Amino acid sequence: MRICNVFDSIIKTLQRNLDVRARKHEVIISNIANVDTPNYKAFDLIVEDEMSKVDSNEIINNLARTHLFHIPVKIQNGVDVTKSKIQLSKEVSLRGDGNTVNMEKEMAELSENNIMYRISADILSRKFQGLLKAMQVGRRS
Amino acid sequence: MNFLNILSTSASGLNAQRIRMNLISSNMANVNTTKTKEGGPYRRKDAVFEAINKKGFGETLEMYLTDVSVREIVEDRRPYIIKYDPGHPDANKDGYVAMPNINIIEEMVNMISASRSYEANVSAIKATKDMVSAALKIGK
Repeated sequence: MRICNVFDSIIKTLQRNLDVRARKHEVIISNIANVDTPNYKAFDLIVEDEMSKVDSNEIINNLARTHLFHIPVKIQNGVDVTKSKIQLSKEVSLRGDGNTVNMEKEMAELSENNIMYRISADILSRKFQGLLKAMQVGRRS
Repeated sequence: MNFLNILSTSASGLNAQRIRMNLISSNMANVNTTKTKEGGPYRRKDAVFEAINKKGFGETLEMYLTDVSVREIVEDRRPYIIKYDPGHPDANKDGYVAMPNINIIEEMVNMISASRSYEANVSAIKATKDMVSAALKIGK
């Protein structure tokens, strides 16, 4: 029986996810603050592409497969923030001052990112609650 | 998440928009002012915004993150509006008065724009606060 695996890679994935979302939040905040700055070019942090890449080599083997046809559990090892791309937004400025911030897009991204961050934080929190529950149930009997 | 930094960016946005709003109010209040300290009628004032880089260099994210600040306050060089008003003490010998170069409709539109941008920054601060409190709730 493996005890050392209590804090498994899901926690690591969630941690990285929170980190990436926080970075993305910084980017959105910077764009919103500069909505009226002449010649400011809006930029984006491209993280979704990185997040959706599942490394096929990372098949977790510690889940027992008692039958050949059981589906192996694949867990993505999270994304590396340093791998995410920074790119200038492709919006075309229709204003005279050369500013390319699209306010509606930024506000939508702000709330989307906010919700995704809170979901990740919530799942992580529940993960810890589950672990705690398991420990307490064992003690009571 | 360096949330103090994030909040300071939003605060810089709020500050810049507030300065802009102050100037708009000043323009609207002085729409009929013909005497100023510098002499001549009041000139329309506007704030010029500038993006200020946070520290960081190379292709890092910090290089792209910018605060906003007011670089300078400029006076509009458009010509004064000439109005016929022979009874005015500042009227010239033909009875014309130079009034400030302020278009009140333009100021109203700018005011709405400034107030919306301000609100956007307030929402951004709220979102930051939400995220921080969500992060603090992990493990509770």
